[in-house]
Amino acid sequence: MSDSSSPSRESGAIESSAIDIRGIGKRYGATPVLESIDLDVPAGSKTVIVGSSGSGKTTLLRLLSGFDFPDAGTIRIGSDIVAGPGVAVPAHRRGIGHVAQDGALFPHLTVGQNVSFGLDRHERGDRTAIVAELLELVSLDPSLSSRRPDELSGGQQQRVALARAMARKPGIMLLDEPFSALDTGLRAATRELVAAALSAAGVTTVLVTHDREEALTFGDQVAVLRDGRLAQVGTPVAVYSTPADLATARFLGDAVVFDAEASGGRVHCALGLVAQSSSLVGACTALFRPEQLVVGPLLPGADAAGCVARVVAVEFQGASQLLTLELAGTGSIEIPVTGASAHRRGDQVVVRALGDAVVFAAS
Amino acid sequence: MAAGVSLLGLVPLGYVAVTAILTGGPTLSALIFRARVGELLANTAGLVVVTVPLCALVGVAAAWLVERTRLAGSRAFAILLVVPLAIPAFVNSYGWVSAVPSLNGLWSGVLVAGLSYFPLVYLPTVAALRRLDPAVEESARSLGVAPIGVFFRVVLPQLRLPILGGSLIIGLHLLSEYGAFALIRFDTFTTAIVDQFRSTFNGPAANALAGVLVLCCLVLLMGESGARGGARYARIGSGSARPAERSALGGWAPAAYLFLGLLVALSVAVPFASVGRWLVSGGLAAWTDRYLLTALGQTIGYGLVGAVATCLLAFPIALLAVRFPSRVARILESINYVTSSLPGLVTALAFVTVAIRLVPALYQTAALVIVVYLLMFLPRAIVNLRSGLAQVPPGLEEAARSLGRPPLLAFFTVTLRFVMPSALAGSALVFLGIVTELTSTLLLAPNGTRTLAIQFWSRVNDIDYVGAAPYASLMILLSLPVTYLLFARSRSDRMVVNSL
Repeated sequence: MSDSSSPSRESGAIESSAIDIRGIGKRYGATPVLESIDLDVPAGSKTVIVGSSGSGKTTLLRLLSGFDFPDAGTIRIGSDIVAGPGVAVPAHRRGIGHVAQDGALFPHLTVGQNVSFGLDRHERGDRTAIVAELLELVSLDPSLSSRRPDELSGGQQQRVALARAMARKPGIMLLDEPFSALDTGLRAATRELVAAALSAAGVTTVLVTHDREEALTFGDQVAVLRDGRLAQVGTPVAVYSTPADLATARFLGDAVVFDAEASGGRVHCALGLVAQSSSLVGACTALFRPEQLVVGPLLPGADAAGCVARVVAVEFQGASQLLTLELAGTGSIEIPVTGASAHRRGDQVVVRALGDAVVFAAS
Repeated sequence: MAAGVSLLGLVPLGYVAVTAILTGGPTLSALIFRARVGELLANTAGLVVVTVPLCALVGVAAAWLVERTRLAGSRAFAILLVVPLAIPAFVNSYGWVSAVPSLNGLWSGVLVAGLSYFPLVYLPTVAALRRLDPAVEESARSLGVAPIGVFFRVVLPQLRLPILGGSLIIGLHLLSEYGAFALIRFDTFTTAIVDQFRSTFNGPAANALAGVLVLCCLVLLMGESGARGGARYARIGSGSARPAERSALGGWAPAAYLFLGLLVALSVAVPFASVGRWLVSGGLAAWTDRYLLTALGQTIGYGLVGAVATCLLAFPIALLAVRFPSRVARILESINYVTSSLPGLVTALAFVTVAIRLVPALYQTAALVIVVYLLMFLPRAIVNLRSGLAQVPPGLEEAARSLGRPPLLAFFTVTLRFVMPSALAGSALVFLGIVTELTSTLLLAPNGTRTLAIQFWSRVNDIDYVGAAPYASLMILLSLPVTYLLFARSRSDRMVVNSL
């Protein structure tokens, strides 16, 4: 796939913010689904909205597409207000691409007719050429264009849906869990392909997902949504390694958590004294990602940094082992270890932390 | 067994072919190519060409208003619009003639038949609208298509199958209906055949007309199957069970109310008011008709026996189709569909002739009546049993067998139990068909047969509209529960309407 084969984008590159969401609220009946949401989606970026089911992420996306309208707040696309007090621009006038969860292809049309559905009348003349170009953009063979949607695999359907949405050269593309229905292997491949196609076309993209791996790999910006509120917005690295709160930390990855005592730049926990970067002092919770923890053999006379633990269970997982360790006085923790280190039940080991701990005020 | 039923189903077509051959070319062409036949053909074709598109239009518009708009009371309208199915067309016609005695000719035929049959498009369209994936329509909107465009480019094409299927059934009803058109003195092939049959009994003229009628039926069948083509709009994704969004009608709401109100008034209120008026003027005396109880008993008797027999015979055919699909099974099944698409009148004529020529002992017996009912209504039972059987996961029966049940017992205790609701629904539809059947019963029934339909018809023919009213109301009362069943099933994802 090359840049020259992708439809050129005509607008959106100049504004700093492609989507500007301010104070959005939405309720269904008496139940608030979204509350005071503020979010900037920079032009040309890929933003992921991640949350568990019921967090309101799909509702937020539907507000952006114009299928639903907020009860409070405003949404700007570029410099235009599309939803706000007295303004409600419907979906078909927003010029935003949208790919639904299962593609939502038109079952009564062929692949080619699906892709050319949104083309303007004057473009229909070179329909075949445009369709072929769009199918190539999503790495599909143009010969598929005479097929029916139900003759395609799930991954192919998703890519047709993307090609169909790209046909209108939207500046913004919204993806509603487009990969969740695919098999694990296909999911990663389709995701990479879609990300590449969208980057090549320079389209500002918003992806909604409940999958933390997808959230961390797909975008430049991750917005964590929980119970209708944004818990944290930041780069994938930031939200993963410096999560705003314990729930966010646990949602985005495995976590090993200790009760701890913080003092300027350090935290004292079961693993000993570990560096930390917050200004917190006093009783707190210290959090480590499992990959920060190193398990080594207990050597007599060795440096005492770290914590002595006993292996109580070993689960073979192929490339790695999952160790359940019992730490003196603080209960047990689970740590995956890779490599040839063959630990056995009953072994005494030393656990050490690499890097900074993330600390939160004790709850 | 399945083959036996299907062979029986070949009798009507065979009869038409054999009589055509026996009559001989010259006589046949003299009987067919005459002004009277041309006139009948023009009437019948005109009726079909005007009524079917009108019904499709009204049915789709009503379904959309009821399912996809925020009209207050749409639930009430949803039910009221199915009620015409409980009123036999000839009773509706009686209601209209009572209200407007001057009715006659093509446009009156269109009016009465259209009001009777539009639910045959309305009901499957409602069912299809409820099953459409709303995400597909949203996709169209996100591709820049305005709501009106979404309806024509996305919704309507997906409704093609229910609209075509409903239209075909309406067309077949129009070809085979006798009573409704006889009452408003509008001549179609069917009314002419009945008249011929009554004057000359089994003359070649009636047979020749029946042949042309059968050809008309086949033209409709092929037309529908051609228009349907290879279309099969499977809902592709799993989709969520999210209901589609309803649109606000704004300034159009009064027009929508007017349309739906008028439709209900003309199709339900007029016949009910007429029947009610005659009931009131007849008072209690009309109910002392000495044949009323006999007729009720006979109708229920024929209905029950016919329904049970039809279901029993449909079972092997449905089982073959679902569990052991093969070319033979498909052919057996399609023979039944074609046979039941033929006017009941032709089937009745065929069996009258066959009985007289080959098995005189059967002529004028209730058994022969049941056989004809069976052939006419078999698909109603097959369609339901098929969908019922298809919904029973074979794994369930296998689980029962792995738990120690012998295969036959496993089938009876597991599969059959699950199929019972579908079998009951199928039987109910056959029952509905028999209760409101007039034409073939008129031709076939043994002397002294007094079903509700026959008694109603003889009263009406004696211009005793008051005396006919109790029979009309009993037929409607017997039909209403089955109609409600149809309505409920159309909302629960099960298609049963395609065999009405």
